Amino acid sequence: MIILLGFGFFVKAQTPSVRWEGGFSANHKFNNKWSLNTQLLARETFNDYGSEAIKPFTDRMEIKPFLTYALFNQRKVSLGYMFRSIDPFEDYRGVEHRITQQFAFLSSIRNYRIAHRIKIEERIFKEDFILRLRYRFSYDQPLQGETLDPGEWYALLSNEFILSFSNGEEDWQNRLAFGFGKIFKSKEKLQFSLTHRYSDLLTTTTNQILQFKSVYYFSL
Amino acid sequence: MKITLVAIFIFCSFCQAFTQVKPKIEHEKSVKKSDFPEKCIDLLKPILKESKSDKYYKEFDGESYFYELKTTYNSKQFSIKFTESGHLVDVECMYDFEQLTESLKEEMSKLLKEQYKKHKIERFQLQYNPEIDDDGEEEDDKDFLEDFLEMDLDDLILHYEMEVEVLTYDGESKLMELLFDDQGSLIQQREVQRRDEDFILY
Repeated sequence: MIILLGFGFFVKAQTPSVRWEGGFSANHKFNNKWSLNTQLLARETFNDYGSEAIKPFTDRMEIKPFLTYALFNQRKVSLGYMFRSIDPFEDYRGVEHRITQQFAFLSSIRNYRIAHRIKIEERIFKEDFILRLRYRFSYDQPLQGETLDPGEWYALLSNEFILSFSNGEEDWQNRLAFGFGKIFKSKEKLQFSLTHRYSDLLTTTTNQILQFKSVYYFSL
Repeated sequence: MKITLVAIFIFCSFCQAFTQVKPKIEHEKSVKKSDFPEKCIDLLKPILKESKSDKYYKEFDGESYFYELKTTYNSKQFSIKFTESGHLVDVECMYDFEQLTESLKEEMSKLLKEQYKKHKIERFQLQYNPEIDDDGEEEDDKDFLEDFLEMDLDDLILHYEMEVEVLTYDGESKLMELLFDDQGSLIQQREVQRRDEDFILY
């Protein structure tokens, strides 16, 4: 139902802003309980909302380390920090510092794995502060058997709700994503996804983004 | 007294080493029905007539290849496993742990509580193996499956298999597969490799 709702938003769309985000995700397990994930990502925007004129530019580059502590029964708590350079190659470039508290857990319905992720984010800009609450559920499915083995492909589907608070105003955003990936013999993974972001849902000036994403996951 | 304690310790260590085997690392791939050995398909015909959601797999456990049919038959989830040459290995059926007799539940729970600080049963299955006759020979595959379909289960060898999320007394959290005999005594246990999750968490 929620996923259909997401597609419903998409059908009503004006010209969305098309973007591509690419990067790397490195995971390091210190022991059975502690791990560190670091992502390095950059995003290219091809057109603005509602405009068909293509003017590609790099609108952000970021690094995100996440320290995670594993609890019993596949529940995980994480503390993350992100440094983001906004419009890094422009004269008017800016910076965002983001602190994230995350709680994630897995559930299953008839052997199908569902991952739940709850986040609280504090986004700190030079002259602004935004508090965000996020909830995402994702479902992943190996495509060549019940288990995901090296050399095989998998598909994933997720939906995320984001509620933002800033200067006494609220905003709701929805992100629906579909993707697929391949796990290599070395356990590294290459994942491609397409996310439909529908923002400013509480105002009349709704915006849409179609974001392609490619991430290479590996362990150190 | 000291000697007795040392003997008990050595005995327990031996039992632990005997039941603990190398981690379960299975690779399985979906295959078509036509890739299954003909012998297996012939044997499965009575089941395939009424079953739903049939899925065919080829598995490799690090040493040998197996074929497996996962299906829903009589509203229950079954998996039927064959060797590469088409010999029936076992039939497994999903089952609710709470439906076991109180004595079996107690026996298994007692072991889990003794071995682990915390545990949560993720999956529980009945495992039927062919009966062994007086000469030590396994029952014929067709007879085994017929017995099973007719629910003539008395002579089949019944094991209980569970996948359980555990927290060890060392604080290690892992997924284990435990196999019990029909009396609830542990036969084998091994760690199960978990599916990666970094791509769905970050």
